[in-house]
Amino acid sequence: MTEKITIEPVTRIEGHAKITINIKDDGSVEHAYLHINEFRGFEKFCEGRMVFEMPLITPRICGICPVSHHLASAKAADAALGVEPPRPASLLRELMHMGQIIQSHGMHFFELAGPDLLLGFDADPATRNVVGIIQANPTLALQAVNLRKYGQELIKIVGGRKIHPNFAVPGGVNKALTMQDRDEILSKLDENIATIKVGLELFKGWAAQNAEQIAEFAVFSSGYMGLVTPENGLELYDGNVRMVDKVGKQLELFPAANYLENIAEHVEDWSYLKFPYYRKMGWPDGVYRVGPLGRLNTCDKIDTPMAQEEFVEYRKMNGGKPIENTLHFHYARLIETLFAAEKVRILLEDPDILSKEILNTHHNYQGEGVGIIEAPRGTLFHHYWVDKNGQMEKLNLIVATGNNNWAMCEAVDSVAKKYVKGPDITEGMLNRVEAAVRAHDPCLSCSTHAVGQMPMLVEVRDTNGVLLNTIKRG
Amino acid sequence: MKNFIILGYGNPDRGDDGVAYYILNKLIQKLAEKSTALAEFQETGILEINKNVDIWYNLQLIPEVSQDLADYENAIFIDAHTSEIPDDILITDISPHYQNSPFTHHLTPASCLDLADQLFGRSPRATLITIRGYRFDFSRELSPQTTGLAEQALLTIVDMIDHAK
Repeated sequence: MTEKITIEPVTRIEGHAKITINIKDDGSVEHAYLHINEFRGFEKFCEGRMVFEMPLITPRICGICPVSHHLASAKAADAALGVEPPRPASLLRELMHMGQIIQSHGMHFFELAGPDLLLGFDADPATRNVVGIIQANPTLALQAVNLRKYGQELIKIVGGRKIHPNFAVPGGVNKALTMQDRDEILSKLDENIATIKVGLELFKGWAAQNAEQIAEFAVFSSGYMGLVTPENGLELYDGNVRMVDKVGKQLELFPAANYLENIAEHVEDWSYLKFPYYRKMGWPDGVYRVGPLGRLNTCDKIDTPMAQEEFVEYRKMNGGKPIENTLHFHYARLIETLFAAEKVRILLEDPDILSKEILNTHHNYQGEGVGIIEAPRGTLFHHYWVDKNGQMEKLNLIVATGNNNWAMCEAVDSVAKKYVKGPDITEGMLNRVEAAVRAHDPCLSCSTHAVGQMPMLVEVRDTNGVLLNTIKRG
Repeated sequence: MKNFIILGYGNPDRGDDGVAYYILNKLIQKLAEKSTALAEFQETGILEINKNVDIWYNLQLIPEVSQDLADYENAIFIDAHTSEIPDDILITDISPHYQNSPFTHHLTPASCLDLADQLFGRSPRATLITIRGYRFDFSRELSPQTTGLAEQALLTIVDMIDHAK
């Protein structure tokens, strides 16, 4: 008799995810599924809107990474209207994006992932959180809050608002940076770089003591995807898309506009979210991963000195081949945070950053445009079709969490098979299954956050659907 | 130390999820001492609307708000709620208590209070007021039912501020 266990964080409205674990008679896991019910109505909602409104509308998809949608949208609108932003505008957009990376990655490591790593997967859930970290290391906890705040303040200084920015417009941006703004951002940069470095050392110390766990926790092969510079360096704002295979061999290098030639989407009847894959290899051979792990497996180097030093050490772990360990998403995320902070300095010291030439108003209508950006959690695609009046005819969005859909499912299945034994699931087992999802930093339920969430449920059922056991969490 | 901070959160582009945004706008109209306050009400952190009351709005609660919370005697959090809660308007005193969010960057009011306590040494007396939402589609309008409840909640909040003077 096979038993079915369902772990369901019942959120609301959209972003509904649950985990079902099927248990065999001997108590071992037959298969575990991550089901995502991600809202896809946004594309329909935007049809008929004016293209210049899109950078204002699309950030409202998400309260966690609005800047990524804002900038990807502006880039798609640039392409559809045939307008190249002046260099200072591109620098300012990239600067804002670095603020987003710093705040999002910083919060993820210290708030969501850090407690598992620093306090242990089996620690008491009452203290296995940021408060536990505060108690263990109050100085670090305050630094962590300040790191996120720094990223948010950077976004606000550059764009005028912390969320729902109206900064990037087709052809550029609508606000130049003042010298006072630049100096304010620079004045706090070093202390935040120091915090990131503390995080890196913490992770490396933990990794050294938990090598066995890292080696057995959701380790699997896949392809990888991310933006790269012309020299195949790490790129988060603009560049070509590079795909590599499981040993790091380049599969494709293509401009944003060609993404449909290279990416297709598979459908499973147990998930509402599609599974993107590399078209030429087919499903499932063409599955890939994005986000920090994907990006550091896709690039050959990092063009900032401190992050490059960390990258060299990181890639040595697997002899220069792609790192396949899901728990190293965290390591890669911290290296990227360091890169973003270093990039802030490079951008602020660029002579063009204070230029007032921030908008190009000469359009050369193209009718169709693709904007790609590396959101904190992975590659984000905005594809717009626009009529000659500037009205949206249709759009296609592939969000970062969608690109990692297969990877999250695979990680959940792998961890459940390794750690879950029988229907009596312990807190530590459950936490590991959740951590397999959490490593990817998915965006599942960010547009609405009202009170009324049900706690997470774990249901054990027999093959006839009879409920045998229920565990409530949260 | 300041007396009141009213914190609203939720997405005003998702129908009734914007009920806190609606109430904060009404509070400004009712209590603000300067005429420009409504125009200044953007997503930029704390806004002082009179010598007794500040307001704060965001799409969601964030960890750095804990630093602000430590500066107030009283806090009122405003949010929408869904059908699992029987009351149309639920008023709950809340204490510092960190609550884990398994997958997302979501924080609760109790978690923010706990962060304020742990990081900055104190937290305010706090109340959570939640209002039932009926529609959460892409709209900047509240449903008629939630609009009515929001007006009731507004009176309650004003009353709480008056009684605390």
